[in-house]
Amino acid sequence: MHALELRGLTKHFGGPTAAVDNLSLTVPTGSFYGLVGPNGAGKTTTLSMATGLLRPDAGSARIHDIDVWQHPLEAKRLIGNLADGVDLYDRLTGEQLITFSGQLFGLDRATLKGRVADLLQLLDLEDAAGRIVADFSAGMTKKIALAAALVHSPRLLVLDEPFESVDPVSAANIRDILDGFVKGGGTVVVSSHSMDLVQRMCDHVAIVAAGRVLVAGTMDEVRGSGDLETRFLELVGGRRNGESPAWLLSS
Amino acid sequence: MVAVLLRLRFRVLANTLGRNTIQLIAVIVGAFSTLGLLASVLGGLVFASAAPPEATQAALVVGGSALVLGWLIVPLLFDGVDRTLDPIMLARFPIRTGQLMVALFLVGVTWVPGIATIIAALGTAIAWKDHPLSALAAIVTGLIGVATCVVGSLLVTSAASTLLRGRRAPQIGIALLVLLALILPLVSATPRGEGGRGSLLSHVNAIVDILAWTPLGAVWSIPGHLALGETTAALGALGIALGTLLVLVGLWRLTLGVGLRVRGEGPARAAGAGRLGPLGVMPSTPTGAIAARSLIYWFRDARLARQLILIPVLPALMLLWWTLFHIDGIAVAIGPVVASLLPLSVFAGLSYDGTAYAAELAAGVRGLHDRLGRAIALVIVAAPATIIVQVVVAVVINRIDELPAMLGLALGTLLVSVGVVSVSSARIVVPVARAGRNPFSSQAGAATVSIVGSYAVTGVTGALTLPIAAVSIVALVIESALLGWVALLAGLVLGAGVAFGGAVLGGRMLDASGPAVLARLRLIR
Repeated sequence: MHALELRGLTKHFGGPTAAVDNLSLTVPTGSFYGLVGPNGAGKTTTLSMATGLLRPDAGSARIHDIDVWQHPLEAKRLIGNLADGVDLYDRLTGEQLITFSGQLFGLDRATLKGRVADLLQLLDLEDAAGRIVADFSAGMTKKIALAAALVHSPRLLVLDEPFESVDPVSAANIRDILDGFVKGGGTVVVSSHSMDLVQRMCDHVAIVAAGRVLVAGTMDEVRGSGDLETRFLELVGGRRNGESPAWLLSS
Repeated sequence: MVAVLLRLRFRVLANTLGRNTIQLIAVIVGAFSTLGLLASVLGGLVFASAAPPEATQAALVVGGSALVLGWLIVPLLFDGVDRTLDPIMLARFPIRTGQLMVALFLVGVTWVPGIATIIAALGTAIAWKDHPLSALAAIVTGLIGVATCVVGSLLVTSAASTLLRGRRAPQIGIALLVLLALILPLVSATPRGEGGRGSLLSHVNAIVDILAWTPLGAVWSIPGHLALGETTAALGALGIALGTLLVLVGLWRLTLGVGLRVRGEGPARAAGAGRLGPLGVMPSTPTGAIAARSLIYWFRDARLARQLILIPVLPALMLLWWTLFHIDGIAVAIGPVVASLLPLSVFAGLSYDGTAYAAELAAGVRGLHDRLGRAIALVIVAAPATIIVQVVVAVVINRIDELPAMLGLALGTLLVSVGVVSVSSARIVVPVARAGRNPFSSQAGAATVSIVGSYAVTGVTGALTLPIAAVSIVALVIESALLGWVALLAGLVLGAGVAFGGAVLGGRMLDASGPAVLARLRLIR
């Protein structure tokens, strides 16, 4: 049984080409799966369809053998979702936001109290607990969103760009949390632009471009003898050998 | 620079409308209804030209004052002011305040309401077609009048957005007090009539005489003064009109400066760790969480809190009408109007959530739980307001014995409209300012969607409230205490039924179309 199984996912947004084009991907249970690709590759769209936020034009997504679009309520209980490009209810304080997220999953008050305190401590957000999320920096906002995704103890974490604008110390702490989660039998899917990070962190990886999977498998299979970044640039292409324009430092 | 800003504004407008067909349709519908309104105004002006100068003068002063007042108030009520050139967004470019003011002014007069106002204002010359000097003067004063309208509206928008930009309730309280302070003296200063048609007419004349010398009406009274041969009065009115415009420009410049210095939102006071607010009081369930979250937003989100300002203002205005005309019907209507006000303001409530709604969708919250949570928060905010207003009104009009009948109508209206918006807000998404952005900024066509949507919601609410209204009104007319209590019971029972029915229906719609709604929310983000 797989933690996440995508079959032939397709999504058109009205443009000439599909944003996600017949994409299939299998994420084994207990894996730490990296999803990398250039800007506009369809990573966010794919993850949105996999987590029940965006209805695919075709194809299916199954979480631990539950079809996301047939049984959305059951499937969503298993997912901890950090979506990219969506706002938070940022008029709440940090503590209120995590509590709110837990209550949406029906956690009782006693359980919730302990978990909220733990999450705030794990993510170095104790000082920010009583502050309005709209006043947070970008990195703190990411961390509070991550806490909200973890609070109901999901079995599969789907994290879209979790390390964007997060400082190195917090990033290391988040990695520890995620490593622990995988060791405990959970599954993590992360999308990221940082090849280096994905190579060090993940045991599986898929390279996505133009809405398709170019290559997927264990980290060693995909990168072969070189490193992930070299393999990525080989597959995706698009490097230019140019210097910056002359006017850039002219005044 | 001004030309660059104007081009930018129309480029943004074209791109927005090209991307969003519904918005484009809304703009077109809005333009056509404005055209209809304009035609009737011009027709009225032709009609007025045949009347004696005194009557023409009265019509123009009242109409012109209403126009200026409208330009001042509408930005506070509706998401309708186009603020493509938000001064805050332009702050990082080297633009002088003067240039910005000219550009903002031109944006104001080059869109549907501005153009319509110019045509109507120039049209006042038609009304004086038998008095050439006045007609000539009307063209000049019309343009001064337009400038007063547009600058006044820009001043109100700029001042209010600076005031409300934070998330702190005290600021909203201050704004509320200022508004009350403006309105209450009006109520007490109004001459109290003892009824009868003769005194009604003399009231109107007295009001016109006063209005003609206020900043609202002076500019419109100048051609009339000339037609009546009152040259000194005309010069005096011109002085008031130009002075008003100068003061408005000066104040506007001042608020723009302050607005630019207060960059972004002021950080809110920390609520303190361990203080969960309503989230700690409501049951720890999806419904309870959503109710608590909505409650927090009603007070912490400037876009919603803005609606709370109307709760004391609207009854005060309607009581003012009542003191003028002593028609109890107006006073009795205050309760239902206040009751439907807050639900109406969230007829497209998911738009205010924006993409944050993804949190609910990702958690797999049932549509019914979402609808119930929001409805509960709405009732918690609106029911006490409705009851207090209704009791005050009953005391003021001295019909406290008939409170049950009035409360039945008011609370029935509240519950019915809660049910109706539970359905409408599951489907309708309108472009609104994002949380934390200027609550008075909005996008082209949004006003039309808001107004059309409000009409539809009001119509359905009215139809569903009819049975309750019938019992209440009969009880009030025949002054039957027993029937009054029946009306109260009917209002509560039928209202609760509609409210729950609406939550069930809206919940089903949301279950079916949640992802589609999120996709639309992403588009207008």
